[in-house]
Amino acid sequence: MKRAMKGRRALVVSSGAMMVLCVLAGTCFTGAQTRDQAVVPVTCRVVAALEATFPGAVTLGNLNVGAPPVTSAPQSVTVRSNAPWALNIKSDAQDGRLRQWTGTAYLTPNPKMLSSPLEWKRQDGAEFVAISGNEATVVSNMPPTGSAGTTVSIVFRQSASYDDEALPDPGHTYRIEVTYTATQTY
Amino acid sequence: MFRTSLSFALAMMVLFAVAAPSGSALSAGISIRVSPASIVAAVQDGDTIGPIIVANPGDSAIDIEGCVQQGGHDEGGIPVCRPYGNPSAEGVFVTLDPAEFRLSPGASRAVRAKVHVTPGFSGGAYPVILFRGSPATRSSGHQLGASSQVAVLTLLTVTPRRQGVRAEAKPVLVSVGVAQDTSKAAIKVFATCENKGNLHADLGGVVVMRQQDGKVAAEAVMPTGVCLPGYRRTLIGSVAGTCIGSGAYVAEVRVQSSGREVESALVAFRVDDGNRIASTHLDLGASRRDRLPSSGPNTPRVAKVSVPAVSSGWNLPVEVCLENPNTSDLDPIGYVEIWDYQMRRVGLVALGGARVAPGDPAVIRLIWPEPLPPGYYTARATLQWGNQQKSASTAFVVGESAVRHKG
Repeated sequence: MKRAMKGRRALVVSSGAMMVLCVLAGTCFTGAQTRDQAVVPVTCRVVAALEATFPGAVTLGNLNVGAPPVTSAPQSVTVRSNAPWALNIKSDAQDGRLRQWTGTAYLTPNPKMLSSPLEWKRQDGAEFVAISGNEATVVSNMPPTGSAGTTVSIVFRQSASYDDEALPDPGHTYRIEVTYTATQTY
Repeated sequence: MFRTSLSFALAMMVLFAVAAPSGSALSAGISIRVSPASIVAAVQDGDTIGPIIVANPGDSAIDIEGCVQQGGHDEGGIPVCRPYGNPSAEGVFVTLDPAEFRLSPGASRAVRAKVHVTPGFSGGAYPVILFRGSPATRSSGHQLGASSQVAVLTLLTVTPRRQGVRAEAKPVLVSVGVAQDTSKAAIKVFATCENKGNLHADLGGVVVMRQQDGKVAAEAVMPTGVCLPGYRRTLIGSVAGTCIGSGAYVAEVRVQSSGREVESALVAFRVDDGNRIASTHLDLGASRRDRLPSSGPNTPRVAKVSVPAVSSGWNLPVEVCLENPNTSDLDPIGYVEIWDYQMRRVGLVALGGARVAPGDPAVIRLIWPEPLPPGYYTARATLQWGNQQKSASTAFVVGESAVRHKG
């Protein structure tokens, strides 16, 4: 019995020693963990993204000869970009003049054409300029927009004179296609 | 009560009348998003780049049509695209899969671009991928039809496989200039580079403005930009006008390509008492030609630059003799450089002086602000007149006495 008690005490003592050792070891491990800090770099790249909301088609209505040119409502392009960007504009007619449209296509051959080209300007710009088939810069070197985006408004203007024939077919109109291009810059 | 309602109704009518477009009607617009909007990749024949995610963040369905054009840019880096004449005849052309698709509101589609490289081609290729959007239910009755497109720029490099063939950028500085930016009360320095290599250049640069005593008055970083082969790109450095007082200055423009300095040029300017400057544009090709003695007889020039042939290198006196055979007064501006025997510029000061009357020679004297260690040197004085530069130089030696003096 005594021997058994002795053995149990020895066991208890050894258990206690183990606990102390474990605590010490634990402390040591803890100390090691606080000293050996791991610094892990986290890197990433943000992909260039570009989003643009463009205006739809426009009807200028009736152009009256001798009356002031008809001006469109502002056509707004809203761009969101995380890199510098630009907005260009061009038309499908090299000379920027509206051509006779049958309702589904330009009349061929020999469509009637307006004598003066469609003009455009930025709403906050000073001068109207004729649109053409060559890309013209609406805005350039624009900084990244942030989430709010940046809105650019464009106004079109068209005049009519006695050189511009009234189209006899009520289904025909004068028409031009304007192309907006949003792009980031080099 | 009735009067109030009537007033309100009238006010609303006026408001609507003002807000309504003057004789124009609109149709709904569209939205397109592309990501990535620019792609830089080293490619081989058959590689696929992308995918490019094309999305419709708008609230109506759109039809998308992709096409590829040849990229270029203006001097400001604004892309200028032109259709390929015969895509398969190009060194590199790109085909899209899918090239046409419809996107319902909120939907997106991954587009893969396959690269085709003509055998033997190496260098850079710069296709621009355009995604043109149109409403799925298209109206054709409008007088101003609207097409909308967003561009994805690519910078593709095809590494040469043959020995002796290199793909490299060769930016050459073709002009520099200074101008006043009145809207921002700043002085802008321009540097235009032309890339004569076959690979795009990632350009950047710095501008250092020095005064007549050689001290740095201001520095500016020129924001980086890409210059495609065969194109010109203008970098602009801007310095606040408040940093610069009246006097003569010389701006040193250092252009870097991929972080390595490749070219530098100098342009002198004078700031008057009202903090104004005259715009200057130097065609560097022309100015290099004009440094030859064959320039016209009536143009102002540096007749002589004098430095003691042997000196101690301390308080070095430099004399610049100017001639003005023109019929109008000359406000001399320019700069003096000192080069060592390895043709490294070791010093630079701005040159300015009193107005020189027609026919009169004038001498500008200055004391070199920094001591020079013993060695062989060349002093070169450059007079800038209008948009031209004329130079003269002389060689001199700094002897050991400079060391003794210092000791």
